[in-house]
Amino acid sequence: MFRRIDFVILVLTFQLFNNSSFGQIPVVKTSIDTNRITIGDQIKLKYEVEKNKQQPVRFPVYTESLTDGIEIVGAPVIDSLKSGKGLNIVSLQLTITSFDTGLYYIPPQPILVPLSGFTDTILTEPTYLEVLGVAIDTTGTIRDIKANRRAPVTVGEILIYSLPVLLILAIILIVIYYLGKKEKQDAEPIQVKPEEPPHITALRELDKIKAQKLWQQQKQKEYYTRITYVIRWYISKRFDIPALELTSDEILSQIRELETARINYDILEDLLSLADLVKFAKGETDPDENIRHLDNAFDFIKKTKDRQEIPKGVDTLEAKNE
Amino acid sequence: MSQMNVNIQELNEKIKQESSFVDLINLEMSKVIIGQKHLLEGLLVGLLSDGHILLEGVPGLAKTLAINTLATTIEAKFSRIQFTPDLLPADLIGTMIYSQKKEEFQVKKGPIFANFILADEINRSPAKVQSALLEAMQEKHVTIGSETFDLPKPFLVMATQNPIEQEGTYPLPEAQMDRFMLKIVLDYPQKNEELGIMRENLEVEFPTANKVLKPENIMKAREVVKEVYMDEKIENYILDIVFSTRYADKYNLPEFKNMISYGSSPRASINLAKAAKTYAFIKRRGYVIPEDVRAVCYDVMRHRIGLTYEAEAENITSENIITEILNKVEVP
Repeated sequence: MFRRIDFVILVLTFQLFNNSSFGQIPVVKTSIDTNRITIGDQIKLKYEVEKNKQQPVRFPVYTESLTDGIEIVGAPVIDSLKSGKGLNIVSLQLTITSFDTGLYYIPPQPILVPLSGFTDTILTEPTYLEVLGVAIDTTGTIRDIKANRRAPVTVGEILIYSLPVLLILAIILIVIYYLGKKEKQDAEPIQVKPEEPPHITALRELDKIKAQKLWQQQKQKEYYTRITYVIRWYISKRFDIPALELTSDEILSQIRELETARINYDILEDLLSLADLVKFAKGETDPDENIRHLDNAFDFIKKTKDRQEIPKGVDTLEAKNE
Repeated sequence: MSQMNVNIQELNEKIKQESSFVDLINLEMSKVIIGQKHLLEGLLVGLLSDGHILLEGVPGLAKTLAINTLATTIEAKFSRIQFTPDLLPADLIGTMIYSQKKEEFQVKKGPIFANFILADEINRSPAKVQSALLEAMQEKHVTIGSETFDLPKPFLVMATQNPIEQEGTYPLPEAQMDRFMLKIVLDYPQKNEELGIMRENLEVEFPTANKVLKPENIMKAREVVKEVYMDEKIENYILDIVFSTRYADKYNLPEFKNMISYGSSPRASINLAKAAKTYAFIKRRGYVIPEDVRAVCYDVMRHRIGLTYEAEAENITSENIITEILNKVEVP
């Protein structure tokens, strides 16, 4: 009987540990890339829990540091993979670093395992991390801080600086081109037709008046108007007197001041006075007068065309001889 | 020469005869007035053209004496009205006065009822008095109460303006200035003329002018002046001068385009023609020549050209503009 009871207890215990849903106690494994790093180096610390597939586990919640002096870089990475029939491995990987030299103890980390009716805590294996400083070569020379690394130059940046320069260059080239062209044009001799001497024009106009035989057609007014116009035009060109805008008296008073024309003053006065009568007072003239005044107009122009002008009052040898 | 057209020749002779009184007037006036030849000519032009004269000059340049002497030589009635700020139109043209004896209103004619009026310092009176005078000048009659009275003939107003002391004055509007045929600007006499004036005033008896004409002679002369021949060429010359004040750029005067705010009105053409004819008459000629037009051009045109602020800023006067116009417009 006793043997039978013992057997039953043994079987039940076995069954209890072997067939229950939480029959397997999770196994925790701690691994670290290395236990010795240079200050600032980053290494991986990994906790693996091998457990029943349905068994949940809860890792500790980490913020910034694992323990004093050891920083966690980035977010913890949790992963799982199959391990065998009904088992799997859940891992928690931390990237850790330290910025202070020394030997650090990494204490066991609590991993919570909820069981039926209670939560069990499994502790990981403790480990350590030795942080070494950088060896300083005190024998070498002091070096400057490294310069900033230059980013590669883009096409847009090139255009921003090169376009204004190109524009200014283009303007300069255009200006040089036009100046050169203008200089070339200026250098080219312009064919200027020499101005006809006033006496030539005036004599030609008087010839025309003569040929038109105006007074013979009872057009004395037009005849004298045209003769006086030619004479006044000639005076304005020859003596630089604005005779076209002056009255007969004003013309005569200015002519009186000129040595050359003064000699022919009487001819001119006679012509202008009579012409005023014909033009403004319906004056009629006889044929002899018409011929004489046209001849006088020719004479006045011929006698004054070549003479050197001597202002009144200037006493020169040439003037005396004349 | 020459056989003149019969009508013109006859006219020339007629005018030589009719204008002989001009020498007499000049002779009598020169007894009293020394110098101021331009003023005397202007007075005659205004008188014979039936126009009125605006005279500008500093005090003491014989303005009153000149018109008074002219009135004396013509045996005409002369009135001098001193324009003041408190003058009323009734003081000028007259008013109705109640006669207790006759128990009725009677007309009391004002000083405007004279042949020659000297409106002294016209710009010192308010606009209503100026208007009353200018209306009388234009219409040649005035209405007092319900009765209209003709003004005596000839009727010549010579208004004076003082170019200095502008404070408290009422400058004549341009439209009213236009009603004056001539604006004569007087200058100081020459040194030798002033010597004569000084000696004349130191004599025991101040010389006086004799009566040599009657108002009827003036009215007759005015009719003869109208007969003075003006050729079409002269008419066109006058039009060119007047039009050049309106369209300066068309007459080769682009520099005056921004200097003239308004050009001369048709009154300028009319008065320039009338004044040129009268000037030819005074010179005892039966026809007008360009010299006549040029001789009266300044007096007729100077108050008929409006100047812009630009012109005033550059000290350009209407006389400068007229000179330039005469230098640019072609003489026929």
